[in-house]
Amino acid sequence: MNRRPIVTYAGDNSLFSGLQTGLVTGLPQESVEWRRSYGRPSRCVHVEVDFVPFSEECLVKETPRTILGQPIFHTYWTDCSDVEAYKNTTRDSLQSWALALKQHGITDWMVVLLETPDTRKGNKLLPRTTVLDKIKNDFGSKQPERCVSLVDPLKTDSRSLESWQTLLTKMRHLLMVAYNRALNRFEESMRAERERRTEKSWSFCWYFLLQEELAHVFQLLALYDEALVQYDELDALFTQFVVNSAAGDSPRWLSTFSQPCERWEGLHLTPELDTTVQAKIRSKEVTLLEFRNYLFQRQCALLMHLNKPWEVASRALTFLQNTVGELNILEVNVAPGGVACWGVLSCLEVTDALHRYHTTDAHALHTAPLWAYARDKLQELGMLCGLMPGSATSSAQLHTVISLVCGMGNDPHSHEEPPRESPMTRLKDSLSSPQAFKKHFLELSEVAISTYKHIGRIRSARLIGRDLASFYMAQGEPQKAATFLTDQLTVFLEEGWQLLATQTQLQLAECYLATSDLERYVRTCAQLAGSCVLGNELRDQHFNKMMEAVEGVKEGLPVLIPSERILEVGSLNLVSEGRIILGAEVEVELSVLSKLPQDICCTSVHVSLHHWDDENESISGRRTAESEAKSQQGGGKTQNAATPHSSGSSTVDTEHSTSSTSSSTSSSTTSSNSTSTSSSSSSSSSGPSESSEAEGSRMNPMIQSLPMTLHLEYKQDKSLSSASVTCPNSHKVLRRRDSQGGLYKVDRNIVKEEQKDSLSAKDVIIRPGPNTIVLHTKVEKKGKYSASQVVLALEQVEFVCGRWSVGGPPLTLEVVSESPRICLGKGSRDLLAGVTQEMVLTVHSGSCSISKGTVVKLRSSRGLTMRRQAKEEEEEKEGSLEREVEIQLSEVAPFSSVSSPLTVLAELGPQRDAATIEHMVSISSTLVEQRQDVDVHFIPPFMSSHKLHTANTSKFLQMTVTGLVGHPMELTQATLKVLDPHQEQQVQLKALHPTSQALVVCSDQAASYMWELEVDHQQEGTPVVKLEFSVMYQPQELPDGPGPNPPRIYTSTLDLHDYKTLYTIRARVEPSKGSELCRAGNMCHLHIVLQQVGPTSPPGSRAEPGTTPHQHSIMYEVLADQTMWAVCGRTAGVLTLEGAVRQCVTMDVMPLAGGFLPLPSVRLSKYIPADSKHNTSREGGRKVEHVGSASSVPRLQPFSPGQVYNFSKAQQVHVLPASNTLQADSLT
Amino acid sequence: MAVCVAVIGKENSPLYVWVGSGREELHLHYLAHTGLDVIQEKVAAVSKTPGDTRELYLGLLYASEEYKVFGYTTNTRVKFVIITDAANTTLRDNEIRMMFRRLHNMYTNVVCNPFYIPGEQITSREFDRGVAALVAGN
Repeated sequence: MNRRPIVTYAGDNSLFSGLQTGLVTGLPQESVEWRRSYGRPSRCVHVEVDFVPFSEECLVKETPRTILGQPIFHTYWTDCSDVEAYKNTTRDSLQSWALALKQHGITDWMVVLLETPDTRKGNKLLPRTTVLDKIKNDFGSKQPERCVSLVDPLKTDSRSLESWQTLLTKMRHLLMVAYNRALNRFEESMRAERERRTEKSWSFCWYFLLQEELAHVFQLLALYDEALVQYDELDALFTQFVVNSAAGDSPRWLSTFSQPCERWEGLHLTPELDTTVQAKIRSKEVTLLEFRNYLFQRQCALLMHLNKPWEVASRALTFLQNTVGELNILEVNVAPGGVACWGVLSCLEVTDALHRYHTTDAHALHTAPLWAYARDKLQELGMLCGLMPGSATSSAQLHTVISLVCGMGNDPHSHEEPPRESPMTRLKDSLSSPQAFKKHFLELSEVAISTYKHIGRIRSARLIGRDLASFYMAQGEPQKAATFLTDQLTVFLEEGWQLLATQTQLQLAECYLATSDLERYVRTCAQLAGSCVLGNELRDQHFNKMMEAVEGVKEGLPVLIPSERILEVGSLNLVSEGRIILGAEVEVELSVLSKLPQDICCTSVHVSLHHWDDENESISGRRTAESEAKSQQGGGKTQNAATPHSSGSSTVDTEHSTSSTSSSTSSSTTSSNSTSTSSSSSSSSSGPSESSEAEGSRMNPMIQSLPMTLHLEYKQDKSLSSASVTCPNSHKVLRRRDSQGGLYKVDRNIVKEEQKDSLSAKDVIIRPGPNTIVLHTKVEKKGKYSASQVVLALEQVEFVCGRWSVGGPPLTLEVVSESPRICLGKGSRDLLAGVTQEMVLTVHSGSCSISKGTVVKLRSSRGLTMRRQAKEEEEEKEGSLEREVEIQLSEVAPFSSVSSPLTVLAELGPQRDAATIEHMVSISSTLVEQRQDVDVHFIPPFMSSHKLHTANTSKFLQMTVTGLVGHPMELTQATLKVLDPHQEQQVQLKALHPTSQALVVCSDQAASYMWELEVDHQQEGTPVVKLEFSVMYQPQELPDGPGPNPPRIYTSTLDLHDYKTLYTIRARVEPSKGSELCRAGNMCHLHIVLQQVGPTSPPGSRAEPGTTPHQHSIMYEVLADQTMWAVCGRTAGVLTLEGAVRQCVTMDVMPLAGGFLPLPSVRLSKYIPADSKHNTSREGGRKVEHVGSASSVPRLQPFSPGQVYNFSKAQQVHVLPASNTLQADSLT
Repeated sequence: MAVCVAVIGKENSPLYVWVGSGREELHLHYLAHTGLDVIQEKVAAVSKTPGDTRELYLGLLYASEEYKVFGYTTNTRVKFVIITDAANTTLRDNEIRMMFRRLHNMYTNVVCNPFYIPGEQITSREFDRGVAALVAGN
C-alpha cells in the first residue's frame, strides 16, 4: 500500500508528464533538513511524493481527520516564453488556480516556468520583462521564491543541470514546509481527540488509527524512532486504560476487547502492515490478542528498522506477560490452552526472528527467559493435553488438541521460501503425540538451560533443571533426574537454603529409591530425617525408611554418610586427668547433637587419631591434613576451602616480617630519639593458636578474630613511650571480599581416613538432641595425637564427620613416657664434715609407677657413712652409720616423687687447710639401668695449726683452731699429749689456758690454745716429738642449724722439731771511747755476744760417747741497712765455740744517720767446712746430705727458727745527728 | 502489599525469609533464590561502570506471570528481595524503593545488636514486627 504524500500539478499537463519521472526519482535523492515547530529537533529526511493532477475536489475545507491521501503541496507548470502569450492565456489560467487555492486557505504552492536559453536572450535589454518577472510580479508578491524557472531540462549541459538541482532543492524545502504545516495541524487535531478520551463516545480504536497514521508518516520519512514513540504512546495509553478498568473505571469501548477470543494466532513478525487486523480495528471488532499482536508487531517492525533486535527480545517477555495480565483483568474468555498456545507461538516467533540476526550474544540475556517462558507454556499445554509422561491422553484431551490447533489459524509462514519449521508447525507437531511432545519439550528445555548458563544465571538454569528432573522422574528415568537434582542440591546446601535443599532431597530420595542406589538413598533419608524444616511426620517416615535401608546394607564396603546436619559433632573433651602416660587408657568425651527424630543404636563410634611423632613431622602431618581437607571438599570449592587455612598460616609468617620491619621503619622514620620494639614473643606465641582458631572458625568469616599484636614503643632512654595493639596486616584482613561462592561447604565425596589409632566406643545409643559419648583408647606411641575424623557406625552405615566439621577446639593429646630418676641432694645448707647431717634421696617416678619395696642401694666412699633416717614411728631402731645403705621405697604414683632423708657423716680428719672433702656415693637400683655416681662435697667446719714460740730457752706451743664456716662450733676439752710415752719425760706440756673453757669458732673467729713446753735441756739433741692435739667439738645449736649432734672429737697430730734453743745472741752498739753517745758519722763499736745454750755440763763430759757434739763452727753475718750503718771491716766470720760457751765479737760500725736506728741484725748459720769427712749426718733430726763432690766447698746451713734466740732483736740505738764540722772532716 | 520479603546474606544464604500466609512458600523461596542471579548480574554491571555506585535499589529483577521480584543490595552485599503480586498494579516503583529503604533501616538495627553475629539467621522479634508492618503497608 502506497501512502506517500500527494502533490498536485496544474497548468501544462503534457509538459509536466515529461518531467514527472525525473522529479519522482530526483526528489528523494538528497535529504532535506526538516525544521520542526515546537522546539523539536530538526531532522534530515528524504521526501518521496506522489503526483496527482490538480482538481478542485481534492481540496478539503475542514480540518483534516487524516493526513495521508491528502494533497499537501500544489504546483503549476508552464513553458510560456513570451510575455504577450503569458498576458493572454497563461495568466488567466494561473490566476484561477491561485484563487482556488486561496479559497481553501492553502499557502503551499509553487509555480515552475520552463525556459529555453534563447527566450532569455532576447529580453536582455529590458529588465523585469521576462515571463518569470511577470509571474513573480503577479503572484509571488510576498513569496517570490515560490516562482521558479527551470532552464531547458532536457539538455545535459551544466547550466540546465544546475537549474534542475535548484528546482529540486527548492521543491524539497517547500514540500517540507508544507508537510510540517500539515503535520502540525494533524497533531493538533489528534491531541484534541486524545483530550476527549474521557468522553463516553470516544473510542480507542478510532484514536489508535489516527495516531498510527502519524506514526506512518514518520515511518515514511524514515524517522523510525519517532514512529516507535507513537506506537509506544498508544501501548502505554491502552495499558493504562486496562489498568484503570481493573480499578473499576471501565469505558464502554473497552468492552470490544473483552469479547471472547476464539483464535490464538501467534505473533507474526513482519515489516508489512497487517491490513486485516487494521480493518478489524477500524470496524471495532478486534480481539485483545489480535490487537496486542498487531501493536507488538508494529513496534518490532520499527525496532528492526532501527536495527535493535535485542530490544525486541527484551520487550517480548513483558509483552507476553502483560498481555496475559490484561486478558485476566478484562476477563476475556479464552479456551483453556489458548493463551499457552499463543505464548509458545509468539515466543518461538520472536526467537526465530532474532535468530536471523546472528547476534545471539547481544540478546541472549533476554532470550533466555523467553525460552524458559515458552518451555513453561509448552509444559502447560502438555499437561492440559495429557502429553506429559505417565499420563494417557483421553478423548477429551484429544478434542482439546484439535480445538487448540484450530484456534491457531493459518500459518503465516506457510508460503515462505525456503520452507522451514515455523513455530506453528513445531507446536502442532508437539501436540500431535507424546513422543513428539517429549522431543520438543526436551529440546526447548535444553535451549533454555544452556542459554541461562551462557548468561551466567546458574540458579535459573538449575531451576529449570529441577523441573526437568520431575519430568524425567515421570518419564521413568530417575538417573537423569538425579543428576539435575544433585546439582541443585549442591547450590542450595552451599548457600544454606534449607527449605529448598530439603525439597530437593525429598525428590532425590525418590530417585535413589527408584535406581536402588542404596548408599545415596540411605544418605538422603538420613539427611531428611535430620532436616529441621520438615514436619515430624515426614522426618519419622524417612527415619524409618533409612533404618529399613540400613538393614539392607549388609555386605561390601561400608556406606559413608557425611554427618553434617544429621549428627552434629559438637566437641571432644579429654576426660582423663593429668598427663597421659604411654600405654595408659585415655578417655574422651564426645558430644553429639543428634537431629534424628528417634534413637539410633550405633554399633561403634570411632574418633581417629593422627599421630605426630615430632615437630618436623607435625608440619608434614599438617600438610597432609590440609590436602585431605582439600580432597574432602571436592568439586570446585577446593580453592575456597584451602585458602582460609593457608592464608591463616601465611598471615602468621608475614606478621613476623611486618612486625620486624615496622619496628625498624618506625625507629628510623619517627626520629632517632625513639626506638620502637614490637614484642615478637607475643606474636610468635599467638601464632599456633591463631592458626588453629582460623581452622575452627572457618565456617563464618565474620567471627574470625583479627591477628592483633602487641606493639611497644620505647623512648631513647628505654622508658616506655606507648603501648598499643595493632593489626599488622589490616589491609589484607579487612579487605572486602566478593560475595561469590557459598558460605557452607558441601562434602560430597567423603574419604574415610585410615588411622592406626582411634578412640572408640561400642554400642552407643544416640538419642535425639545432645548426647555425650565416652570413648576409650590405649595409647601405644609417645608423642602428640590430634583427633581428626569422627565416625559413627550403624552396622555397615557410617556417619563420618570430617576433622574440619568437628566443633569446639581441636583435641590434641600428648602421650608422654619418662624414665624414673634418682638423685641425691643435700639439705638446706652446705654439708659440713664431721657433723651428722641430713641428705635427701629423691626418686622421681617419671611416667611409671613404682611398686612398694623397690630397693635403692647406696654405697659411699671411705670416710662417709650414712644411715636411713628413721621415721617417727620407728625411731628406736636408729641403726649405726654405715657405708652401704639399702632403702626400700614405698609405692609411688607416676609423675610424683618420693624422698627419703638420710643421715650422713663425713669423717673430719686432721685439717690443716680449708680444702673441701670429696666423697662419692654410688646409687644402684632396679629402676635405673646404670649405676649412678654422685660426688658429694663436705666443707670442714674448722682447721687447726700450730706454732712454736721461743723466749730464750722457754718454748711455747700455740694451737690455733680457725673456723671455716659460718656455723659456730663449740670447742671443749682441748688436750695435747705426747704420743710416745718414752718421750714424755723429755717434753713436758703444761697448758696455759683454762682447761674447762669452751671456745666457739666460726668463719671469722678463731680459738687458740697455749702450752708451755718444758724441754729437758740436759738431753743431747732434739729428737722429733710427736704430739696429738685433740678437742671436742659440737655445733652450737641454732634454730636453723643441723639437728642435735653429740660432741665429737677432733684429733690432729703434729711433729715437733728443733724445739731447743741452741744459741743466744746479744748485740749492742756502744760509742767509741770518749763519747757518751753515738753520733752519726762517728765510729761506734758493735759488740756481739754469742752464747751457746746447752747442757751446762762440764766440758769434759762433752766428750761422752753417744751424744752428738754441738756444731762447732758457726758463721755470723752482720746485716746492716746500708743507708743507716756502715760496717767497717769484716761483716762475717766463722767462730768455733769449742769449749767456751760464750764468744764475743766486736766490730766497728758507723751510723750514717741520726735518730733511733735499729741495730744491725746478726745472722747465725751452721758452717760446714770443706774438709768435712762425713757425707751424711743427722743434725737436729734433719737429714742433711753432703754430696761428696760438693764437699770441697764450705757450705752454710741456716738454723731452724727457735734454735737461735736473739735478745737484741728489734732493739734500737739512739744516734745523735752528726756535727757539721765532723761531717766536713769526714768528707775530707 | 508484598507476598515475600527475604534478607539474603553476603554469601547468598538466607538470613530471613518472610512469606505471606496462604502463599506457596516453596515457590516463593525458589523465586527469591533465582532472583540472586539477576542481583549478581546487576551488581557486577554497576561495579564495572564507574561513577555513582550508591544506588542500592536494583529495581525489578524479573517478573513471572504471577509475581514481580524486586531487588536491593547494601554496601556490604546483603541483599533484600521483595516479591509482589504481578496483578498488584497499585504499587509504584517509588513505593517499592521506600519499602526497601525501611527494610534496610530495620536490618541495620539488627546488625547494631551486639548479640547478633553478622551472617547468622535473624531471629529478632523487633524485626518480625517491622517486616509485618512493612508488608501490611503501614
